[in-house]
Amino acid sequence: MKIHNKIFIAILYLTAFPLLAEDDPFSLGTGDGSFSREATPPLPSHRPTSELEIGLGSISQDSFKFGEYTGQEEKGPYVIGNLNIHRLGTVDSTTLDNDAALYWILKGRALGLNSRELGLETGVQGDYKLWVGYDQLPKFQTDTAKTPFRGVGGDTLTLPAGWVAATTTAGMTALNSSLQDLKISHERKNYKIGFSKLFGSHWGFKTQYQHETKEGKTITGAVIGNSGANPRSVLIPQPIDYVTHQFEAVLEFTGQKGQFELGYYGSLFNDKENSLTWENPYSTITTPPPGWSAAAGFPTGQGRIGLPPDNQFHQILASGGYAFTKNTRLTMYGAVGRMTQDETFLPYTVNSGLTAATPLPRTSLDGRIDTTLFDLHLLSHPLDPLNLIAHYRYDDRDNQTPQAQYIYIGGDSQNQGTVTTTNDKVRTNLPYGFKQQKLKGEADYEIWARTHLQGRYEYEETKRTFSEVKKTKEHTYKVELRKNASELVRGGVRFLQGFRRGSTYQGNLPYLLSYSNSFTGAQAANVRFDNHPLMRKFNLGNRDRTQFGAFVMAEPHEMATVQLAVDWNDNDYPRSTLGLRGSEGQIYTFDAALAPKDGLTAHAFYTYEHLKSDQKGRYFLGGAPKAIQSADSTRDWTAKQRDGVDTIGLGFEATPNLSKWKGGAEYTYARSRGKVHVRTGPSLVPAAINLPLLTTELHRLDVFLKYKIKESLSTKFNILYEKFNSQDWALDNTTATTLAGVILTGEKSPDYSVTVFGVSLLYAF
Amino acid sequence: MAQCTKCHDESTAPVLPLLQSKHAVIADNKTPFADRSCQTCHGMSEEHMKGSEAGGPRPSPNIRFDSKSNTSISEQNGTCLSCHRSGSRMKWKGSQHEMKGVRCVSCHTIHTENAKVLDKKNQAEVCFICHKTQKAESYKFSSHPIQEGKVVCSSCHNPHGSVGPKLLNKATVNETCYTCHAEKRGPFLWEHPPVREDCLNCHTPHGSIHKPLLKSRGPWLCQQCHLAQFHPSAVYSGTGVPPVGAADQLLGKNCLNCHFEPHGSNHPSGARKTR
Repeated sequence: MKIHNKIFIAILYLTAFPLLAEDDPFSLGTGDGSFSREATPPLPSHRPTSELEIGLGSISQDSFKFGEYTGQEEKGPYVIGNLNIHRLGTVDSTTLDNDAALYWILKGRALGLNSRELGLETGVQGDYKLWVGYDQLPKFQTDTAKTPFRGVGGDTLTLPAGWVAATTTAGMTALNSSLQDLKISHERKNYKIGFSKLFGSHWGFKTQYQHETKEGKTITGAVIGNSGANPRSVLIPQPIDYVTHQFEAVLEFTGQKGQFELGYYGSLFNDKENSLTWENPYSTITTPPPGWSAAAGFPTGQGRIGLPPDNQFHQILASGGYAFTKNTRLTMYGAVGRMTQDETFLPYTVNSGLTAATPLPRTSLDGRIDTTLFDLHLLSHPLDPLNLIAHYRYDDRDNQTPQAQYIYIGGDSQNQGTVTTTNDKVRTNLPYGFKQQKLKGEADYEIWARTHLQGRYEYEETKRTFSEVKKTKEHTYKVELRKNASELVRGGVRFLQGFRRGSTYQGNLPYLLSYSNSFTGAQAANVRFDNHPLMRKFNLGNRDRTQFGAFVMAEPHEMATVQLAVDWNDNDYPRSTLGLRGSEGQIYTFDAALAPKDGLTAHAFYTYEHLKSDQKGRYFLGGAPKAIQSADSTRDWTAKQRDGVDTIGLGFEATPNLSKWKGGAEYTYARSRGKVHVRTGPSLVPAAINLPLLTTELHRLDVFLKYKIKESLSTKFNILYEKFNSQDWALDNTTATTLAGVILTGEKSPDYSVTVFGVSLLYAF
Repeated sequence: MAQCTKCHDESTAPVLPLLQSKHAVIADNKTPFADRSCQTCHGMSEEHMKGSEAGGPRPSPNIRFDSKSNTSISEQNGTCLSCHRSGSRMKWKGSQHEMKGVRCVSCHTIHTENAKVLDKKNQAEVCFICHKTQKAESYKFSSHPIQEGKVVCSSCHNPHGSVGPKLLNKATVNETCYTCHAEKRGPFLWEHPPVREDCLNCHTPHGSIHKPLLKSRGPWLCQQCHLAQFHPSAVYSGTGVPPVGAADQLLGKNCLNCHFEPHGSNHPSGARKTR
């Protein structure tokens, strides 16, 4: 764990210094902190409370999963540092001039950890504001992986001396001895600066710039091979070295009837690494023929993947609202934007030993998507109990990226081919785009006091390019009965149905448009497809959606609240013979909060969530058997996924009257079970068997005790105990050599038991 | 104010911390305190100030914001909106929260110096009072750092109204996701259409038992759209998991063992997302 003591001490010094100064420029000028003027009598106190916390904590065990986002991944001590300092400017007790609105706020959290954040805001309230901020966010992914590669973190990975290549992992006799620990994590650092200014009572301007870096590593799959018969893969550490700049500026107008904004948003992404190259650990695959070209195998062969390309997005937006009358208001939003990407292409292959006679059709993509979004929202209140809403939305993602034909090389493993009737590696890019329009009408009628009946109709039409379905239309109806009451009893039920229908589903359209005419034209008409013709992609296929929800929130006693809720969401895909045929989610929630006496609160909640999805597939080979097998329903299989999640929470907080003690505890239990049931038709051998359970189980107990030593000084004790275990068949019981054609990392599913102790002093001033 | 604090002091109702809040900065002439102090928001409340002559219960102030209030929700909210109607609140009228009868004070605490909902660390607690499903999801194995207070509700959502679905800050799901995940924006040479259209075709934002925030487990998630000859249409079951067997498409990162870039590839040889 990194403890940036110097930074922390500097922060403490800077924040404490004004407090120690006798002539504090930010202290209240009147001494007793009171204001006075004729219109407003003296006020009791006008000084914001500031707080400084410093202490020491200790973590009992290393665990990347425990410290995933907090930076508490490593055993040992760490500094507890939090601050919230709020200072007001000087006050002229007679004139109350603008200096009184001068303020600054310095907030810092987790200053001793890698999840630290620090922000300073200053300005004159009602006039201008300036802010700067720093926010650090780690992501500790795994500390149980291993890799045989050297050069981890860079853009070129090499194998150790003495590497023994083979066509499968079983023959790699030096693999196990070459493995080194691989800790996978990355970290974001976000810096921001912003300024806002009000001009009179109507106009304002706001701008902010953010600079975010993301550095570290992740694990990625890296394959060499040119068909489903000869791929050889390895999971490798991929460097992450991103910088994203975001800039926004908004001019605002605020009037009594109308408000308006005109703004610009820009986002520029830069990846300092544009590719990752690795030495091929496999020897040349020759069977089944044609296999790989000899140059692709060890020791000469390499693989290279492209990393995320630099890209930009620029957008100009205008937004406004206008109240025509007291009861009718129109809000509008319009934005035009452009996404662009033009990074220089990598060559077809990194391997110089492979021939590539046909050059790339372009040196870079010149990719461009023009975005247009327009939104109109009209709200009318014609009668006292009636609200009417009309809403229109237009969203166009017009992909202007140029198309070209690419004769590619399969996984850095073969010589480039030519346009022939058999070469399936001649592809044209399909710059997918879509245009979506949405129309909504909604009526809300207060049928009884604070009891509302709401009805809604929504129509959505989506037109897509290069897609299996040119147009989908969806009609959605919703009715809801809701009692807002006085919030002593609230409740509601809602029911929604939606029906999505598409134009003719031409499953092989992308296939025909992307593969060369020579290739597709040579295929028999009954096998001229990639995806099975009976398969419907779930985001395009016909869908019937039903949702039901009910909740009640009651306050049976002024010291108790109880909530019950149920949500049910069902999606059916009636025309999907193959593919996703249905999905469903059920969620049940109970929640209670008690305040049995002054200074004592308690709460409890339980949520059960059940998610399921049913899909069907048909296994078929290519070549000669394709026509027969793809028409053979005895080769069907089904997969049913069932996820069940229980989450329980219990907690209390006590502040006894007149006591110097305050304490509380929070216990959380979360358990999940994931099942995958697979069944196969009679022609599929061996018959399928179910997958082992996917499980996670979390116990967390967080206890704190705070003691007030004196009015301005407290001490806090904190104990956090967390126990977590999980089982994941994709990771557990695997080693680098478990798979013949993939060198795995041997990563294990997380399992830890960590206790964190903390003791700190809190100074309030 | 002085009149009000005769009764409303720390011992009867904790209103005095209001004096440490921005609302009480008199030098800012836009604040309630620069106008009529408490009466700016609670109305003139003359009857309340006068008290009951018969010694009975004191009449309520004109505008009350507590849960037992007889003041209509629109009047309560209208009080706040009389100042806070621009910027991120411009689309409050007709928004999901407004139509469901949510009051400003359902989330915001005014008589306090540090409002919970404005504090990144504690904000989710406020939202979770109603959004229980999202609360439970935040404890799942794969989630955004919501519990840690690093990515909070307002990082993605604008509860005051928005043109985006589900009150998102940006106008579309993908624009919202790209603010943190710009590397997935492209455009790419080899697009993956459902990704370009909506990240939520494959991901769920608040928590999942399948990392990284996937709606279901691969390879079946991929096979919901990819059912081509050979291995994409093959059946994968417990026969491919140790100790029974070992299938390339099940273990490790399943399909992503080879097709590593489902978000789109810009490599000329990346038509199948392997480059």
